[in-house]
Amino acid sequence: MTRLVLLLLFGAAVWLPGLHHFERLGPKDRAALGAQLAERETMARVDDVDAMRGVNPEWDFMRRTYTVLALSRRARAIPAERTRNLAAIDAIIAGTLALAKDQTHFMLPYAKARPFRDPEAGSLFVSGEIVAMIAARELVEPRDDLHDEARLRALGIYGQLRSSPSLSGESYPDECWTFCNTTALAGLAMLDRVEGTAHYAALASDWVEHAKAHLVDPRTGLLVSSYTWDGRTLDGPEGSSIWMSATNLLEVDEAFARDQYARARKELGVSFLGFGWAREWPRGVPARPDVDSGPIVPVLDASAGSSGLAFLGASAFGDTAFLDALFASVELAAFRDPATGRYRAGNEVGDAVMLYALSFEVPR
Amino acid sequence: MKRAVILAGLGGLLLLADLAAHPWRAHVTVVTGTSVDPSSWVLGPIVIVLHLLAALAPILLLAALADVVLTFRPRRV
Repeated sequence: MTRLVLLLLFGAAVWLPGLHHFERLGPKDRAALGAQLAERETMARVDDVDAMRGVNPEWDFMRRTYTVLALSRRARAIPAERTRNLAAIDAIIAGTLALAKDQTHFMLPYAKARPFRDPEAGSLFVSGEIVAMIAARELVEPRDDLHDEARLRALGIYGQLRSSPSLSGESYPDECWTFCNTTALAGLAMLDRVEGTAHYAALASDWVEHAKAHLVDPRTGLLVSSYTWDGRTLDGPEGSSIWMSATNLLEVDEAFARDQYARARKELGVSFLGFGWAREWPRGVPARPDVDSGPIVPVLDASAGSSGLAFLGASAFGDTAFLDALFASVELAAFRDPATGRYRAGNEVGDAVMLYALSFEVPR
Repeated sequence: MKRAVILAGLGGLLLLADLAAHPWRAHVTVVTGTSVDPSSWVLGPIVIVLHLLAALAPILLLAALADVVLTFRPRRV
């Protein structure tokens, strides 16, 4: 029996440290994967949108946002993709604006459960991502009709944030999310870049100062995920929020963004034997799995939602070692389809996040 | 030698089972809850577990190899 155990230990000691090399997806492979996913997204084929909406209608909306942000970055970096990507972006934005006339189309049912504290403003989740989409499009090439739509919504967001005691807009009734507020601020910053102005810089600066003072978890220094309109914390730091929030903050305050990424990497990122994943909650925080965290892998505490968005953070902040480790994990366990580039254990919003993450690696 | 055969056989079986489960790979969308086929709730986890076990199968093969090598080492008289 002792010999068997020793033999197995020998096998494990030889095999496990090298296993990740067999699952490695190097820079060239990642570039090819990004091109493959981009091509697929521009074909406007969404295979499982109904199934996805059945689980979470937000994913249908966020898929659009990530895709537009990714295609915009690629169009700016790769002239050959410009015309094709702009056409796809315009189609996505047109479809989104039509459906977003009823903002609850993209929201979970509890959006209708009670009135917003600021009933005039509506959901920042919807308006913020629409501004970000249009601004990203206009960074490639301005379009007057869309610009008017974005400016109108941006002015609404400005008023919504300025009139809130937490300097934040509600995504759901009496529920503000750092994910949505930072997305909106990134959208406003991009809109300023389009116009060559700084209309929203003071608002962004004020929001960051407020966040540092009131929206940061005292133990980890990470931004909390959600809070009431008047600033009472609802959910502490979560991986499904912070990786995207930190990436958004790159448009607003790079030093704060890097601080948040470094803290998230320390508190939530895990690397082991060349494989990487991310927890949804910092150690010691009781797990409360939900539609945002996705399934939690027992023992490892790996969260599907947090790990997926960790790709975005690792790529946006140039954390190549962590990105390599994350790719090794999905190559091992998420079953990439070589024909489409899709990871079968993911879904359409996961593909869009992956595409957006990979767009940060495209040489500019 | 018997132990080595069992270890290698088990490792080989895991690799074969993973290969045999390839046609079910579409069912792993169960991870995101977006599977439309109810059978995915059974087949999806089976595919994932089999694949992860198959990734560890070389441990058994290396253990078997080491066992064989140790069997043939020179014995003291």
